[in-house]
Amino acid sequence: MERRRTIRAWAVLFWLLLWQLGAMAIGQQIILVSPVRVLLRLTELAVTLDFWGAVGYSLVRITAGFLLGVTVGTLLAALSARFRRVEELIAPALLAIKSIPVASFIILALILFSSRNLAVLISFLIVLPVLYTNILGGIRAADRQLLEMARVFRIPAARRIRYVYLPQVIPYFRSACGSALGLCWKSGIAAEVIGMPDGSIGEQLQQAKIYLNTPDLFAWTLVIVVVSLAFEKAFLALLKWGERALERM
Amino acid sequence: MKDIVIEGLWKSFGEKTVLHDFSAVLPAGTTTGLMAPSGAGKTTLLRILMGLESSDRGTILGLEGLRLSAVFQEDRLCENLNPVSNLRLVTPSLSRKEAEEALRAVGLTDCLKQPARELSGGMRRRVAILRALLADYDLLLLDEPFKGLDQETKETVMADTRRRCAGRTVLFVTHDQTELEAMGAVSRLTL
Repeated sequence: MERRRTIRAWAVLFWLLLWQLGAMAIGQQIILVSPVRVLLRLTELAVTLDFWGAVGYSLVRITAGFLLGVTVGTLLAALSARFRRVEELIAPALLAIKSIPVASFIILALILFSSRNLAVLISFLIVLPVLYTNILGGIRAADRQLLEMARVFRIPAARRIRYVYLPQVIPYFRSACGSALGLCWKSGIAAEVIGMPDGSIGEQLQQAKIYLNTPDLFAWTLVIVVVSLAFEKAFLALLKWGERALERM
Repeated sequence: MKDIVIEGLWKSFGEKTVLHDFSAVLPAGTTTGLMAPSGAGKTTLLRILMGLESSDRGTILGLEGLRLSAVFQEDRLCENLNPVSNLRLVTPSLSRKEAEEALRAVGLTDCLKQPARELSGGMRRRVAILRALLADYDLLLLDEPFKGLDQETKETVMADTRRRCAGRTVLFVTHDQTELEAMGAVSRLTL
């Protein structure tokens, strides 16, 4: 069954029009810039090398943090599912990561390290517990009857993981990645705004704040939304392709 | 090939004793039929033989090192794999062509590329039966394997199963006397 699209062009147009009318009614760009002005500013920015440099800088670091979180979260979940002691050992650390405010981590990281790779660390810390919890849940929810079948037929561990566990864990993995992708972009950019690493999107946002440059603020925000959505779509499409590959033997 | 000797097997779940000093011999190279009413412990006995449950008391001799194969009461197929892949998951040495021929022999012709989740109950059952029959095994355990098949399909599948099981050690659990006869069970047990 095809999923019904909830984002409709007419609804987007409605909100854009409302925004435009609101900006025209207020008449002060510094308070509420119009969407037309934002688009114009974006086209000005898009032809500069610094713009693409900032996009690349943040994209690479947030992606690195995300992938690191996915990898470590998955490995820890697999180890926790296999060895109860591992689960017990990392439970307090994960609780701490989940409970401590992101801002505290950002400031602590700035005290201990430079701001250059701050977004990597913060994205990683945000993604790790989401992936860990979901994947561990997925492994634990694996069909016991299918596992018994694999045991009776003595299916080797590698094939068991590939054909019995993976298809059952993938929906949990997909759901976790969907949640984590949005969160890692929000937290990664927030870290950059506070840490202001040179040449990052976060630095551009901070500059816009200092100079009360609302068109820049909106233009960069739009860039973040577009890049994070494009990244999310691309990653989930890759995952879908991987799922289809799992059905082939 | 050695006979499998079950001696004084007991198994309880809480207050309920399902196996009560059960003893039997499964002669090597033959099909042994096992009939009993529901809840008499047939599946528990099979689970003990499969190593999925342990008995409270009693011994089973001749099972050490044997390769097992089984048709469970449930199909237990990998839902995202097609019938050919489900067979080859358990028996990697089976070529795609061999798997397809075996599936066609039991009437599975136009669903070879469909994932198991899209197959009907009868189709799934036939795949589960073939998976067990084509595996490399020394002891085959069949837990009401033909349940849910229509009469015509059941006859085809039973004939195929009997042919493939000839000369092998098989324990066949059923409620149906005619199935037992169709499978040519040499010895018969009750619980």
